[in-house]
Amino acid sequence: MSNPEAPDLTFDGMAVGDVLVDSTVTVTAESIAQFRRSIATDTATLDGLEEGYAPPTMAAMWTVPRVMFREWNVPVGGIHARQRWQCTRPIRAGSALRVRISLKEKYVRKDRPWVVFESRLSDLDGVDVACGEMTVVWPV
Amino acid sequence: MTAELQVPNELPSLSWTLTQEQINAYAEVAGASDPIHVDPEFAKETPLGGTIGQGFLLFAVMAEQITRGLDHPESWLSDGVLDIRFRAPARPGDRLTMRAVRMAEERGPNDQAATYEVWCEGPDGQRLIDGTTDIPLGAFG
Repeated sequence: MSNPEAPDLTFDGMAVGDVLVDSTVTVTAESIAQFRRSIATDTATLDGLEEGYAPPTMAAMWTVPRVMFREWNVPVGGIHARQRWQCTRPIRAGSALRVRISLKEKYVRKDRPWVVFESRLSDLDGVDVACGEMTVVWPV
Repeated sequence: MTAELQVPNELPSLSWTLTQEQINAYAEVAGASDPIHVDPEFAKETPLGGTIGQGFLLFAVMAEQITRGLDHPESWLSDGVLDIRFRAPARPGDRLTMRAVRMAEERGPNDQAATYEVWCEGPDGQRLIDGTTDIPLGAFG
C-alpha cells in the first residue's frame, strides 16, 4: 500500500532525470521464501528450491515496489504496459542492495500520460546487480 | 558455438490457474495493494469489471519458469534479459499458459545468447503478454 504520509507522486510533478528513490534494502532468506510462495504456481514448485538464490526478478518485483510505495504516495489505477529486466548478478540471502529509481521518459500519447521508470540495483560496493525499465500509463 | 550446445527449441511450458489468493499474496509481499488487484467490489465498478493479476506477478512467474527450464540457471541469473509487453489483463480463475520458443533469427547482442519468443496465453488462446528473452548460451551446457 502506498504511504499516505509520503509526498504525492504526480505526472506533472515528475521531470525526466529525477531520482525518485535512492534507498537500501536487505534481502533476507525469509523474504526470499515469502516471494517464492507468492509466485508459486503449485506447491510442487516449492520443493527442491535452489537454496540461496533469489528468484531472478525478486529485485524488481519485491524491492522496487516496496521502496517506491514506502517513499511515495503513488496514485492507484496505473496500467503496467511494458517491463524490461536484465540480471547481471545473482541475488542471495543477506544481500544488501542499493535501489535507485529514476524517471527516464515522460510523454503524452493519445491524450494519455505515459512514464518510463528506470531502476538500477547494485550491491554496496557499487557492483551492478540488475537493471530494469517499467512503462506505465499514468492514472488520471 | 551454438551447434555444439543442446539449445532447445522450446523451454518447458507452464499452465496454471491464477487465483485471487495468489494475487492477494503477491500484493502483500510486494507491499502494493492497488484495489484493482485486491478489492473485488471496487474492481467490479471499473471498466475492467473485476480484479486482475499484477503485471509484476506474471512477469515474475514467467522469469521463474525460464529459470527452472535451464540446465545452468546461474548463467541466466548473471546475464539474462526479459522484455515483455502486457497486452490484456489476466483475471482470477483464468487458466494461463506460458511458453518460450526459440526464434528463427537471433536478435541478441551477440552470438553468446539464444533469443526466445515468450508469451502468456489466456483461456481462449489470446496472448495476454508477449516479448522476448535473451538467454546466455552458458545456461544450456
